[in-house]
Amino acid sequence: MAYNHADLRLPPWLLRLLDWMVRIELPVSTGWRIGVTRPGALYLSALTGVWMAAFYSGNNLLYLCGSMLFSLVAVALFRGVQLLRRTPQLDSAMPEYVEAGRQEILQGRVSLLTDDSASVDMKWHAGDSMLTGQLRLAERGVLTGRYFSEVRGCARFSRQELSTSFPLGLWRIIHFKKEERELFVMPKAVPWSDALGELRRFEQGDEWYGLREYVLGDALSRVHWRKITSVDSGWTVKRFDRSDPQDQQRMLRVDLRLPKGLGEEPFEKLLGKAWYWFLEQLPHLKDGDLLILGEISFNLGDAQQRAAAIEALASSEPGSSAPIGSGGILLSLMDSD
Amino acid sequence: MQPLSSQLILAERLTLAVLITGVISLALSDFVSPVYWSLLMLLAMLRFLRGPGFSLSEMQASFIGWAGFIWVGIELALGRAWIVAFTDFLLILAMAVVIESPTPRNHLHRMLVGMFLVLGAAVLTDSVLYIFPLAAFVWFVWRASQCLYGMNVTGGALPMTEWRAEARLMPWIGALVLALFITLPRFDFQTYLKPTQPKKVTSGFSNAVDLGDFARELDPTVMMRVEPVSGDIESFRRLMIGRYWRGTSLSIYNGNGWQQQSSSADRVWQRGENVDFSTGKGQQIAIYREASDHPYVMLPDGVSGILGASEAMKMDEAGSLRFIRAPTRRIRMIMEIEAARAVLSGMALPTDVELSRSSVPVAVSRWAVLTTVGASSPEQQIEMLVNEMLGWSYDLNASIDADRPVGSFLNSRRGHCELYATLLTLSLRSLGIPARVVNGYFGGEWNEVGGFYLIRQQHAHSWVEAWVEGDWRRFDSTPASRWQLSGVSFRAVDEVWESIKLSWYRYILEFQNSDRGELFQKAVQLLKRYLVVVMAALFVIALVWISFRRGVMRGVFQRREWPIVDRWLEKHGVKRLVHQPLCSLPLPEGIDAAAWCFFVAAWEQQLYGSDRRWSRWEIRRHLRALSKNHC
Repeated sequence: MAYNHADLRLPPWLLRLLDWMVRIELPVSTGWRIGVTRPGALYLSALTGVWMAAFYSGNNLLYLCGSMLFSLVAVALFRGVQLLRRTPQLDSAMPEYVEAGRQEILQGRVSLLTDDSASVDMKWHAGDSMLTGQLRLAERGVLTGRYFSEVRGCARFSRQELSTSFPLGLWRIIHFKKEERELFVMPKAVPWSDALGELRRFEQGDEWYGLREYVLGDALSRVHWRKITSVDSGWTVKRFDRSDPQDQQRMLRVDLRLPKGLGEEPFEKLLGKAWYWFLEQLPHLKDGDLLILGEISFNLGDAQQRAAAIEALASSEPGSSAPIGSGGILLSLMDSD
Repeated sequence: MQPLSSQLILAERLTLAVLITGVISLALSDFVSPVYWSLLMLLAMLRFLRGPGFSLSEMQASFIGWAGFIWVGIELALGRAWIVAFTDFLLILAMAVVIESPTPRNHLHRMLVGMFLVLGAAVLTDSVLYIFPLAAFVWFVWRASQCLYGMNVTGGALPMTEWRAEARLMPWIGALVLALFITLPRFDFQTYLKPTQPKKVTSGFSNAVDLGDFARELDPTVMMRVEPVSGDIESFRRLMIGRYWRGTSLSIYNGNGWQQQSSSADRVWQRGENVDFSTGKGQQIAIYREASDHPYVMLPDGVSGILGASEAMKMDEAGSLRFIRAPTRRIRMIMEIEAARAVLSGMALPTDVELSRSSVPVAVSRWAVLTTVGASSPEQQIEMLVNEMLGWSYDLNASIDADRPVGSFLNSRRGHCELYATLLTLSLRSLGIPARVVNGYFGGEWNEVGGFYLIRQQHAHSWVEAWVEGDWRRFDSTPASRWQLSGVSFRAVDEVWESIKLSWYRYILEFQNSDRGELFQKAVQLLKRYLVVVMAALFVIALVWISFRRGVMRGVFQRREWPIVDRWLEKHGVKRLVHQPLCSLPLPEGIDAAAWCFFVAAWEQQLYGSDRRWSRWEIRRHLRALSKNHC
């Protein structure tokens, strides 16, 4: 249970006053703002009282007390600013893509080695949408956050707002940073696995005809366990068909033409199916596997082209030409010719 | 009862420590009753040992608070000082807060009450020991605030930062405190909230003194500290050695003791005015006069004036200088003192009282005449009397006959300074020489460590002023064996301790705007004098810093593992920043990717996980193995 400031049960008038103080954010420099938390407002009020007593009386012990308490808040402020300045770029902890219409929970590690335990709140604006997150530092940095976008496309993050009350929870330090990053918001995946599964079962049958070397992505159920003689010996998997799916070329052709009168929804579903196919094939992709979006073809075996395919899927618009090539699986909204 | 959050459990002892440091700081004050703070400490210890199980509900604790409020009201009605009554209230309130159930509000209360206790102590004590609970208070406030308000973030509390990591900040905080303390301006609007101290109890500095009440104990209580304002220490020591510090002059003898003569023409000086006794100029000395139960200002031989009277004061015709109101705190006075050891100038002519033979016992008159047979002048008479008495025995414990104290002293020839001064004064009067007794201090104790003089209560002394050749002159008939006695134990330790206390008074309690420039000048002088040493020190610091930055000594100060790994990484073309973990680095040149991944996983597991930490030898062995795994 996190500590709740409301548990202080302060009188309402004091709470209102504190809330008013907490809302104040003083711009101290370009990209920097400073405010106080509720405990910070109480602390600063007490400190003001100490200084008034010290100035009024000339009591050097009160000066000493005031200096010590002030140093405490000053060092706390400095440490907070230092932490925000040291906060590394967070894009390494970001995913490559998210899906539209789904609350995406993000989690990633951040390269920052520190002895401090600290928390940094993050808001990263991308047009109308916003990624909110929290960077927790305790020996290692972990970024957790959430992002939600209704709309498919490419979210361009630019203005990052980092805030922390580290280390004493007295100051609220806000730092605005320009950190640009693109995040592809993919269409919501529309499963059509039943059809694909049926197709595979039909192709495979129950008999296996040979063995081949295990590759990453192969189902463990297909591993021939009895053939494994030692830890060092390689794994082998059973081949159920003479034309193993690993060897077959995968191709999906997506017809981006949108018949007149149809709204955006069928088009998004079409892209969602294409995205589902992409995700399904991702573990088995090899050179020569193709995704054709209208007139553009992507070799999914190539990492760069795969990334380009993701971007193209995220930003696809209805086209006017039929998909190029022939064969493979065709996804289309057009009536068959 | 709701389960306590991890923060509240963790903060329990921290906020308790904040409160305890406040109590300790206030316990240093002599104004606070030991009953209050010892009871509070007992409750705090019980809470510390038994934890939140030893607690009262908020309602029950509030009853204690209200009871304290009523009790303090009664105290005020009975005439107790409001600041002391307020402190008592805070201590009672602290009792309630200590044993209250551990809620967030309770923790806030503890911190606030702890702060008020520390601030109250700043007014009610001037002890040098105050610095320790104050420093501890700051440290615990830091940790408690971090625990309560810094680490409780949405999504679960973070672990506390290790105290060693936080301790690295303390020198910076110390430097900032010093800078603020020195540079901030002082506005001396009023003195009501200045640090106060209980008045030191003395006897013999009043209008009437019975024989035997003055200077009969070897009391080591410090009454004054004297240090030079400028100039070298050795010349100051020579200047001050064996000086008489003149306090009260007593002229009327009533058979059992002395009384002051009423004065009709007092000279008055207001606060801040310069007090001039003569036109001469001498060396400036600073006197730290402890708060005492008498208002008299001790004036050393050869004093020519006081710069800026710290309080309003007046002087009677017999040369007794006194504050109009006895100060309740330590006073710093700057006096000018000349090398010549003349008795205070400007005193009135002798009065009839100072020549009165009415109370002189017959035995004293007879003894004076017999002792001075053959003397041709008053000076010779005085010399013969003094020389005679200097051969007698000095005895602090000699009994005094209340009916005829001087007569019995004349018979036994054993006694303390007051009796010697009385006998000499009465003898001179019987011979027709005006004389009076003066009570004050003599000499003092040189502190080798701090280079200053201490005047203790054991240095209280009586001597005689006689009117000779148109001037008041001082005569002292007390045997010199008096000054071989001392009540100070552990002299070496005492010197160090007193030196620390004077530094505390000088540089903390009495720090003023005018000291800032002086401090700067001293710093410049020291810098000039020790320029070579400072430069060498800076050079060494720079070397250490560069070494630190390069990672050579980083292992000493931080984690010893990293420098080895960093050197290995640099050999393989990777430069790691201090904050970068290995997993974020690119693949080192010539190293197999799988082996590197395996190494990083094992490294993190031993560094952050549950695996045993690698020794330096093991790290080197792992890195050698990694180097052999060429891709």
